[in-house]
Amino acid sequence: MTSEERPPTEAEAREADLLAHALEDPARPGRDVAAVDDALGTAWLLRASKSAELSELRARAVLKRAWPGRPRWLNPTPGAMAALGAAAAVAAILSLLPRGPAKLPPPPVPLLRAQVAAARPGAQRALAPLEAEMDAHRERLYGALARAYGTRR
Amino acid sequence: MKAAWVWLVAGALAGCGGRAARWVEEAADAHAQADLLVRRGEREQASRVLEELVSRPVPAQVAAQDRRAVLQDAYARLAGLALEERRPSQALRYADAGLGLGETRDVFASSLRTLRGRAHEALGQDAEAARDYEAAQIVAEALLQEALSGGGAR
Repeated sequence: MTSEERPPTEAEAREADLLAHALEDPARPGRDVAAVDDALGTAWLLRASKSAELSELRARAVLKRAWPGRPRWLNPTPGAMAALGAAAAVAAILSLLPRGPAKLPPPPVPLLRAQVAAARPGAQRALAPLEAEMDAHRERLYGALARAYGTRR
Repeated sequence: MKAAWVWLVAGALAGCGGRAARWVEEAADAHAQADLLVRRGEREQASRVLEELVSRPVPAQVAAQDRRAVLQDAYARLAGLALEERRPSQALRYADAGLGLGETRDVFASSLRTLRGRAHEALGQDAEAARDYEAAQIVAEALLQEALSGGGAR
């Protein structure tokens, strides 16, 4: 039988009882806890470590110390939050509204001449120059649209 | 707080045209793809690409005039491809669809009138063809006069 398996002695049982009472009712005056002083200290340390959460004040103090230059806008007030929400709603509505038209390039003279030439009966061959002019005009058209709508090109 | 507002407004402005910008990009890409296919002689494929463009929903942020310009230009190109493929009825449908978006005095409406005239002519509908050619001439000549005198916007 080892020392751990042996039943506690009377003195050990008394000390355990004293320790339990001291932990349950620490404010009781006149109690002599000198016999269990070491055990009591250890028990208090264990208990304190379990409830070692940061209070709000302490958390703020720690944060302030860790990040002294933290900008004020990172602690938004309810008013600021409401304003941000309203701005987001306005932005969402704006994004759904149609824009003003882009400033499209004016048709160049060669394109217009090609159009006049093609709009005649039997002028089958006149379509090819018109197409070529329209291809060039299309390039300019999409360039203007890209500038107006902010494409990534 | 000021920095947050600046970022918020900048983000909102940047995000406003997102869908419209994408639509414009996709339309330009469709034409680039059609150019390539036409050069390879694959006109039918080119038509499919452009058909896909005109059947795509247009974002509400796109201004009506820009929407009309892009779609009428695509319909005119479709009508031209159909005429090259000797499908005048199909060309007529495309030209009608383009002109159905509204007619203003610009190069897109004039092109569509010319192509519709050509389709009517191919179908033996000479009176309708003459009317379309005349309308196209009126617009093109007016624009030409403006351009020669230094004016013109579209």
